[in-house]
Amino acid sequence: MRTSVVVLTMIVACSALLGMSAVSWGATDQETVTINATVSAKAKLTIGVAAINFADADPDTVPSIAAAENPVSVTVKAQTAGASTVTLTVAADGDLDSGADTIDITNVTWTATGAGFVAGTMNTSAQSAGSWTGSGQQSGTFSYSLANSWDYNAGSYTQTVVYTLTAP
Amino acid sequence: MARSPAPEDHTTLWGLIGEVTMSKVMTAWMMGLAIGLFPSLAAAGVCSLEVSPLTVELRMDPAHTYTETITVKNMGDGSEHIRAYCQDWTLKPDGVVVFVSAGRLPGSASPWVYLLPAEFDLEPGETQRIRYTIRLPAGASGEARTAIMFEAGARELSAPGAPSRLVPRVGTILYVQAGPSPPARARAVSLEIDRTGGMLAVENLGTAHLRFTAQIEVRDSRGALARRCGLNPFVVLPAPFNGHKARLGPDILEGLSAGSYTITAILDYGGEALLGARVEIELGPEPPIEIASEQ
Repeated sequence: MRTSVVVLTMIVACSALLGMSAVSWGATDQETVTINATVSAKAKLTIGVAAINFADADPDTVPSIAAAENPVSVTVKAQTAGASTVTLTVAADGDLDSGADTIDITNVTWTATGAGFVAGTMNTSAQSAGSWTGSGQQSGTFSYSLANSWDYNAGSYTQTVVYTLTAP
Repeated sequence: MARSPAPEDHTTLWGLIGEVTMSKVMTAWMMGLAIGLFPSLAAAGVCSLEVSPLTVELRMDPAHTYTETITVKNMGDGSEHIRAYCQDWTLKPDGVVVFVSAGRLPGSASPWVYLLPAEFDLEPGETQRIRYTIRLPAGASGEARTAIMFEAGARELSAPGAPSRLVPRVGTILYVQAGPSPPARARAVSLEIDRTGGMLAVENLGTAHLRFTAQIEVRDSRGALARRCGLNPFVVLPAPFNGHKARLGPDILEGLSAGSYTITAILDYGGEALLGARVEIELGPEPPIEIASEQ
């Protein structure tokens, strides 16, 4: 953990700031500004592949299609303040899309390995994909599946999914 | 100085806060379902992004400006086009973070943050320092929040016909307290637990976020300590997102024999005193473990 508390006392020449702010200050005034800043160190998110694919399959014999890239490696490294929680969330941008045809994104599910990584169902609302307390390195995998169905129209379906790492 | 561009709105995420949106050209991941003779997508290389710092908590006076830098490093094996922008964020009661387009949520600091540069390219191993400037309005008071997002892959997504790429997005969380720090105030709302698990509900009654640590104590009918365990620390934002429900696992009561127990949650949120919640329960015998017999 590398947390620092920095107390800055700055003598601010207002004339230097006039171009940056809508606040009106006297041109010759000086002010003392006290800013307290608490900063936590860093985080790294690594995802092993750039895309996943679900190949064509007979719904009768393959009711659940595994992604060809399974398992997808995911690594989270973080340095935080001791009581901070590092969270990984995932949200899809919409349903799987192929022109006018769609497949509900909730037909995509994933399983997870690795401490703190969470299995779930893809959704357009944010879902937890993992959380950890404090600093450390977490390695895991996600394995994705698509529920197969005769109801799907033939097509090449795509969608954008966002994995976001933060430490609120 | 460039103003961070607002992502395009389109996706409803969370009914509690109305229409909650996310960027259409965010971190990219294309899922291809090939049915019939359709081409599959080639998986590209490792995407890796490092951002420092991860969290910034500032207290500054209204009508002033603060400038600092955030460092972004491409740790992957290919060149990346990075876009920096602000998004509002909040926490659901279960602690899941929800991101919303800039300026949409109460307590948004996004309109006050300016980023330079807002877009840049990074080769593998390269680092870029992004300057963020916060201009606090004269009338600002209380706490405001934003997330400064660093998103790779925007160029690949925007090019017609280009393959989509899976890239990480990492956000620096920024808390800005305008003026003096307010007193920390909170209350424990409820504590419920049985052998299947439970829930501890708390509420932030102040005007700034609180960081909670919590401990659960289980005592038997004689007052002897039967079990003590800590909960994962959590953050509770001020109103209107000031409720949090911490889930308690079944392991807290696992292995305890039948009888009367007092369960106490002790919470430290940085206030003048600790918070407590207590419940008395009557535990029955543990349910038998069913073992499937082989035919």
